[in-house]
Amino acid sequence: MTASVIAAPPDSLEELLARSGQVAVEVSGAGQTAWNGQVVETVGEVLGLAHWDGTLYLDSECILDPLRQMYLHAGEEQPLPVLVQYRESLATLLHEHAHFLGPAGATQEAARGAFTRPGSRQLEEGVAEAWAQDHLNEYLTRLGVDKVAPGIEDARGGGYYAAFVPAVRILAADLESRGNLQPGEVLRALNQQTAEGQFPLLTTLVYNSTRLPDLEPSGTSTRDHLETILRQGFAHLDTYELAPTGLAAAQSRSTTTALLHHLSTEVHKAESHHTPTHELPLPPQFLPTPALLNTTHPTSHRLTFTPPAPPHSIHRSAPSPLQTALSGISPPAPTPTTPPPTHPAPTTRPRTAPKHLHR
Amino acid sequence: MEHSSHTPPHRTQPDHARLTFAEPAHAPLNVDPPNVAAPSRSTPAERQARTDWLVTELRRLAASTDNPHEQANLRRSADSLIRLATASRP
Repeated sequence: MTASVIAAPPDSLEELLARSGQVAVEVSGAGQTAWNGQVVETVGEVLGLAHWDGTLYLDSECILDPLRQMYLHAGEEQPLPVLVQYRESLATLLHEHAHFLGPAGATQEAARGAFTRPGSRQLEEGVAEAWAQDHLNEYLTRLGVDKVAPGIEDARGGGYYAAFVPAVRILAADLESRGNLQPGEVLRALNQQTAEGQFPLLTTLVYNSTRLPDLEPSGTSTRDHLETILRQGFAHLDTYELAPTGLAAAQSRSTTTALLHHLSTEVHKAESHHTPTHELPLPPQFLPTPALLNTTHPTSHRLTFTPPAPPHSIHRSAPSPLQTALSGISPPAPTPTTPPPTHPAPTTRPRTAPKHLHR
Repeated sequence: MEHSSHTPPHRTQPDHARLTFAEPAHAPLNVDPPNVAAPSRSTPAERQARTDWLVTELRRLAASTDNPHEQANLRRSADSLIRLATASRP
C-alpha cells in the first residue's frame, strides 16, 4: 500500500510565499517558472514587480502586511473590506507569478527582449491579469487560504489593467468560438508563454482560424502582416491606461472591435488571392461574433486600422501629455504594404478538424 | 525551474541598482513629457526617458489619490512601466 503525502497548507506568510511559485505553475500548467525563490519587501515604491532576474518585489504595506494579518487571525471571520484586502494582495501575488511562467526551456533574456516590442507589454499584462482573475480561487484553495480566511473566495474586488484585459478577453473568446476551443483555453495557452512566445502564438491562432492554412503555400508574409496588425492594436491600448476604469474598458473593447475588423479585412484580401471569385465566402470570415462584442461596429468600412476616438463626453480635443507619451513607448512597426504573392488557387478544402493551439 | 529554497522577505528599499531605474527630473503633469513630438521615430534613449518620466508621474498621481483601488491601479501601471524600462536597458 502506498501512502500519499499531502503537505499541510501554509500557516505563515513565509510558507505561503515559499509555495506560491510552484502552485502557480501547477494551476497554470506552464512548463516552468523563472522565479528564483527570492522575495524583496519594498516600502512605498513598487507594489508588485516580477523582475527580470527572477526576483519578486512586493510592497510591505499593501501586499505583505495584510497577509501577515491574515495568518495572525487565521480561521477567524473577517469583515468584507478586510477579506477584499487579503484577496487583492493574493491577486497581485498570482499576477506577478504569471509573469514568471513560461514553457520549459524559455529564458528571461529572450522574454525581456520580446517584452520591448510593440504591444508586448499590453498583451502580457492583459493576459496575466485576466488569467489571474479567472484562477485566483483555485490558487487560494490549493494554498489553503480559503480555510485561513473564510469567505475570501467571494470577496471580489475590482480588477486592474482595464485598458488591456477586455481586449485580451474579447480576442481570446473570439478565437475560442471560431476554433471550437474550450472557454479559457486560449487565455491559458497565452499565459503559459513568456513575451517571447505570446504574439507568435496569438498570430498562429488567428491564422489557423481562417481558411488560409488550406489556401496558402508556406512561406508567405501573411502571418507577419497579421502579427503587425495585432501588435499595432495592442500598442494603441496604451492610450487608455490612465483613463478611468469604465472608459478604459469601453475603449479597450471598441479598439478590439476595430482590430478584429482590420484582421477580417486583411484575411479576406489574402483569401481572395487564392480563391476564385465565385468561391469567396460571404460575409468575410473574420468578423467579430455578435455575442462576444455587444457594441456597435464603429469601423465597418475601414480598410486600415484606425483606433476609435474617445466619446465626446470626455471633452478632449488632444491627447494628454501622459496619453501621448504612453502611446510612444512602444511605437508600432510599419505595416507591410506588399500584398500576398499571387499564384494559382489550390483546391479549396472544407474546414473539418478543430484548430489546435500548438505553434 | 523554481528554486527549492525560499528566502524570507526582508524589509528594504527597492534596490535601484538592480531595478536600474533612474529617477528623471520631476516635470509637472500638464507639460509635455520628453520627446513626445515624434514617438514613432524616437530613439531608444528618448523612449527610455519618456518611460522614466511616466513612472514618476504615475507614482505622483498615485500618491495624490485617496481611492485605494485607483492608487493600486496607478501603482500597477507604474510597476509595469518599470518592468518595460528595465527590459530596455542594456
